[in-house]
Amino acid sequence: MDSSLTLSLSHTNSDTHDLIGTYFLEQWRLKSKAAVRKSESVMGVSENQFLMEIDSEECEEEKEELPTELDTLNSSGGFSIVGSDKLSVRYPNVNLHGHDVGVVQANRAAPCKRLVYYFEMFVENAGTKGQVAIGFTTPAFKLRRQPGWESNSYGYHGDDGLLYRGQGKGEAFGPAYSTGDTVGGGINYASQELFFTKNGTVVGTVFKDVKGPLFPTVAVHSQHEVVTVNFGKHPFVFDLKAYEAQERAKQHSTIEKLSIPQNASYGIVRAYLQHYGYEDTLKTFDVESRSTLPPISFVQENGFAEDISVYSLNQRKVLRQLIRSGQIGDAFGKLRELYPQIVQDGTSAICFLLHCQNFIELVRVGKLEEAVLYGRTEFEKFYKLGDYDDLVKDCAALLAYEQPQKSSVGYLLGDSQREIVADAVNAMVLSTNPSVKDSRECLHSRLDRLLRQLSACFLAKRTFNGDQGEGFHLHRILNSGRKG
Amino acid sequence: MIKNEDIWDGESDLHGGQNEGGETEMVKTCEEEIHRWLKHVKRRYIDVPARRCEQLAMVGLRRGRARMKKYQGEGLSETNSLPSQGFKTSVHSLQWCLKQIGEMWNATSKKVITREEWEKKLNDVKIRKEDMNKLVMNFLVTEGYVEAAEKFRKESGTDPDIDLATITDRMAVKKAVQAGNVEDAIEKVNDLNPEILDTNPQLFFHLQQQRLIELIRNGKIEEALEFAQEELAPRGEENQSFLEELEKTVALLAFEDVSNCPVGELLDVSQRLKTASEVNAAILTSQSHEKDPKLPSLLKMLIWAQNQLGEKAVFPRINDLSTAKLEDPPV
Repeated sequence: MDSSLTLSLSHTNSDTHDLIGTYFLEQWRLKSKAAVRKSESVMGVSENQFLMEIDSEECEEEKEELPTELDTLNSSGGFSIVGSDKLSVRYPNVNLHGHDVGVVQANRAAPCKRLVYYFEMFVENAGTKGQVAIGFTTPAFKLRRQPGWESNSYGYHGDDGLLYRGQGKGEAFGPAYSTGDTVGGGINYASQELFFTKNGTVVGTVFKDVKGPLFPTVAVHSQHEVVTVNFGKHPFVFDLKAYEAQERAKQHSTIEKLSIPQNASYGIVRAYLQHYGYEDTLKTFDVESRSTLPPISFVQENGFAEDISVYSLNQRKVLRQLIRSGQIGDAFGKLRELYPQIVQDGTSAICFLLHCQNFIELVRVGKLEEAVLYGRTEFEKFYKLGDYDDLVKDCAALLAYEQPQKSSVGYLLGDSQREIVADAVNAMVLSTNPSVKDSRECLHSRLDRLLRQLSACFLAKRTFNGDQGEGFHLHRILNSGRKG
Repeated sequence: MIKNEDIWDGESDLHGGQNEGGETEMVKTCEEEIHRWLKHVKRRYIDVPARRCEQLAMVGLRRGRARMKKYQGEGLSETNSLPSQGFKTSVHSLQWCLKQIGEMWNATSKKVITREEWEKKLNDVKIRKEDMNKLVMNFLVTEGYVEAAEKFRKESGTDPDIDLATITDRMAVKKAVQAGNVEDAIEKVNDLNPEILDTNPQLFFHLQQQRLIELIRNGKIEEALEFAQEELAPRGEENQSFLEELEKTVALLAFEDVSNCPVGELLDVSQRLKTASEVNAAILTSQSHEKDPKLPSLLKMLIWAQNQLGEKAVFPRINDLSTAKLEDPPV
């Protein structure tokens, strides 16, 4: 998508139609069958399911492979036996030597594009000496040593409760642990700290000075020792959600202390309603805000931006209503009458969007024969152009199903598809305003631009931070804070 | 377990302290670079390629197809004159080097993201229209624009995250407080949900306090005194901060010209708004809804995120939220 989009953005005003049309085609492509298939193939189906179980929405944009089991290929030779489930480790020998530690890393490094990573280890049997350990190690770690003994490794050891980080000697940290205890190791990417838990309570934190990838690691070092690990397949003993909420609240309270101009939100909402032509809402909003106490004195100082979105407000509202109610033919008629320049070129992206929607509406009401005829007359020229064939295929596929809404192209029958077409027409009408210098102004509302800036800041910041930490997820923020 | 010293091979301490690309690493690189530059300055004195102007100054306007000097030292030995020239050159070089170091330092401490690069990043961001609609709906609902929320539901197909009927009741309470009808407001809150005031002693106190303020405002001094003693004083005994607020409020009675006294702010509209927003928040919380709209928090988050990134990089910013205009970084 990127290449075509940036390419079109670099064009000048003469390519206005292409620019706006292409933008909305890309919006469509994000939901298309091909896009869905692509994201599935990236992950592999089984992995995808595993991620879905953890959090369906959060992983949507940032699919990182998670540690799922212990690494059996690269474990420490004869000094550990990993169970067939690849989640338990047993020490088989009588330990004689410091080099004979049974260390096992997870099959993958801890994911880092997030706030927190966490895993747990249950001590099934502390064996003769209880020299079990949990920690984090780098890929280069020597698998015959306790985590924490070597540099660039961290370990919370069961026999003394000390924390080891790169030295032979440990430091006072938490309580010792033994048979029947569950301990956990976590990485807090916001504070750049590691933390460890025992039986669901945080026992301590330590600064993470390793910047690169870290592998969850467990170790056994005396006869009969058996530990099992939990990479999230089962509920944790530790309340990770509460910990994350607490960490977010910390950040939130810092952010809430910042001040923004009074009525900033009010102005942005108002501009949003104008931009998309939600005229009825806008009028009511204005009436209601006049009756608030104190009345909002919103100075319309930002003249230019304001003018652009006031332009043809009523016509845009009518067009949106027609498209949202599926009356594409009427919308076409209205456009021909009021803004003939928009639909002049029958092969433009905007015409393509409208024709597709008309086809979709025919399928929706069950007029399949009519749909076939319509498709035959309208789609051919677009198919020949080649730019649209993926989308034409999606539309045509609707005909193949008895219940198209339940099929892989069912998204076309959703409200959001109408919304894309309505938004595209809205942007096209805005661009006919002679005072518009750059049609890119018509693509995004102020709210949209602010959210993009916010998201880009988060991503750029993460890049500077060795790809560690959370991105910005509007979806999650919208769904947070709703109780019960 | 402590690492067994007998079998310790000493390797780990040799590696000790190293980390993978940490900040200390960067400082070290910088120091090395500076040392290299300084060495370069010393060396430059004799073996740096001579510049054309220096060459001309030293050998005069010698014409012909003479071989160009390769090194400054060559020039010096050749002419064996102008002893200060070498010194001047080195001062010049030093200045040049310092400028380089300065630029290098800026470059290592803050990366510059050009407008073009940044716009590409902005274009790559995926913001869903539905999510923006939800954000707007959340604002309308939380701020109590009930009619607008209803219209927006129709125009955009966005479902409100709360029963719109409850907004009407909530706004009625809010407006009653804003208009000074506190008794009416208390009644309405109790109609909505009696638990709200039962579980919020502070809110209940503030409403009663507001009622007292309104009585004083309306000159009902006797009634105000009676109300303070019978309703508010007992609550003040339960809580020290309530008592202090009560004393402050009653102090209004001690001044003839209340508008010009130290506690006069209690009579201000802002006090009504404060109480109104407190009761508004309590009702929202009782309806399992967040008390504040999400949009202002996101705007604050934007400022925060820009500041955070600003520590590492120079990039185009949005400084004016009301226009959302992208401004080029200062050069």
